[in-house]
Amino acid sequence: MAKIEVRDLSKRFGSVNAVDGVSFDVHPGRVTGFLGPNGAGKTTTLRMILGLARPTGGTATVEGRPYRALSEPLRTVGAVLERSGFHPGRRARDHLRAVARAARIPESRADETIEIVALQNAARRRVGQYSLGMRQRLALATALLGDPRILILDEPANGLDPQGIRWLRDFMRWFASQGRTVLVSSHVLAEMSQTADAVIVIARGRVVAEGQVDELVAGRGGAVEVRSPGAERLAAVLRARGFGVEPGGDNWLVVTGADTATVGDLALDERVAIHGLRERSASLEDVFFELTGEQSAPS
Amino acid sequence: MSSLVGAEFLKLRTTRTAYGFLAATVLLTLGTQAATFATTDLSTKEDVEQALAGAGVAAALLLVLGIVATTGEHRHGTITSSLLASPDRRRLVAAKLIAYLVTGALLGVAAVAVTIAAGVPWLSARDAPLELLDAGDYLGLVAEGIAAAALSGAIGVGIGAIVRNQVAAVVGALIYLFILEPLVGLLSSRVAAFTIGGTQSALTGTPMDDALGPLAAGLVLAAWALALSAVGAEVEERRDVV
Repeated sequence: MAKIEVRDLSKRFGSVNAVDGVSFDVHPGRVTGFLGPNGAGKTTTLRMILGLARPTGGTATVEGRPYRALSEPLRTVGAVLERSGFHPGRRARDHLRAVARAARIPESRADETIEIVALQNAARRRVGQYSLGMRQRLALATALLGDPRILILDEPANGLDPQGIRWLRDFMRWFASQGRTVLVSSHVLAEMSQTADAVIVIARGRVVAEGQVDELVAGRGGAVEVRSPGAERLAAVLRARGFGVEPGGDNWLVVTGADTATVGDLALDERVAIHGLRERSASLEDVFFELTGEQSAPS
Repeated sequence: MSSLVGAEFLKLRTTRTAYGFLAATVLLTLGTQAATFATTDLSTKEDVEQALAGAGVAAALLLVLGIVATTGEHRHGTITSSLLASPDRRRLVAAKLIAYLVTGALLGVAAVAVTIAAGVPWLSARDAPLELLDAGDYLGLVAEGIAAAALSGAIGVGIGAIVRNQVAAVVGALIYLFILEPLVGLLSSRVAAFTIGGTQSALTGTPMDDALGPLAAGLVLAAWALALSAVGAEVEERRDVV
């Protein structure tokens, strides 16, 4: 059974359809990436799932009920949202104690979650002195207070250093491996392709793709890269057979629609030497840009 | 519900805000009472009672504290974790209402205690007719001061729930209390007796013309607190949190 079910969810802000008829399921035991460029509607969708914003239309349920109807919300869902904040004058541990008390969770969980996110040495400091990365860890500790079955994370890698990102990735994998559910949004594809088992891709308020990462990637054509001193002749032959050919520079050609065996055999028939031949699989990033119509960021 | 109220108290105790307001209450109460003692002719029982009813400053400060605490959740973004823990927003507003009623009562006690502790020796040194007040009168002073401060805290919560922007809520409330309501008083003292400021002052020793009696003033102030909180709870229930 899906842990989170979103059906025809919409949100209008004035004349803007921020979320426009979104439907998807999130299943336990895996990390589900919620991907899309900035402004695609990810945060708004997550806020509606969590009962913080009211949908213009459609429904979002968690374990079969709207978030606001959950009897023990923090034991069901832990959430880290981009704008979840802290009082700068309150100590981290006191923040956790207050949330725990409101949710009727034993306050000993405050110290336990501080240890999970490795903030022991800063637990008694006021949050105003925290770095962005420490605040992100504290937000995660808050989400874990109720030892929830579901984690919803909105751009959790923001502000984390590379070690922090790796730690977070391992944590999400571990959490999902226990049969629990992770829904994590991101606009950074690189981190998701190594973390997510399944993805939901959203663009301009609509779901444009949904499925397992490997299926999504497999469904999109990869390419064969071939290097030859007779590149021009080889290109002409390949084009004549109906394959797509793009020059790759330095005598490389990027061939789409053919596999390496076909390219190699054709080269032999034409007696063109091959100095390099390799397969290039589509990355999640390629798929993402293809689906969302976004240009890849200039590097 | 009790856990939510407990959480509100914990939030209140774990920042410096409340302690700042406590210090301000004590200092400003002493200051205004000193000014009252020094400038007022204290010959009748009413004069003495009014001089010892020191919760006026506390009431004004509590109203601001209620606003600051409630809007602070939006300002600092803690409202997100508060609402994730307690998605029922009416209950959250109700918990704040109770917490700030109690906080207001405590600060009201502090204000009245400071006033009486400092005022009685001072007044007796000036030969004011303290003997005209019996124990019941003192009890009345304490009860009125507590009621004014407690209900003002609750009103602050209501205003803060309606107007989320902290600066707008505080400035707006002060303009309303210290400019608009006195203007109402100029037009009709009968109507002014029912305003927030009119009932507060009736309870805190600075009654205006046509002021309500203490009990009536307390009930009217309680009605303000209930009405504003009810509106605030409904508004919070409907609005998106971003």
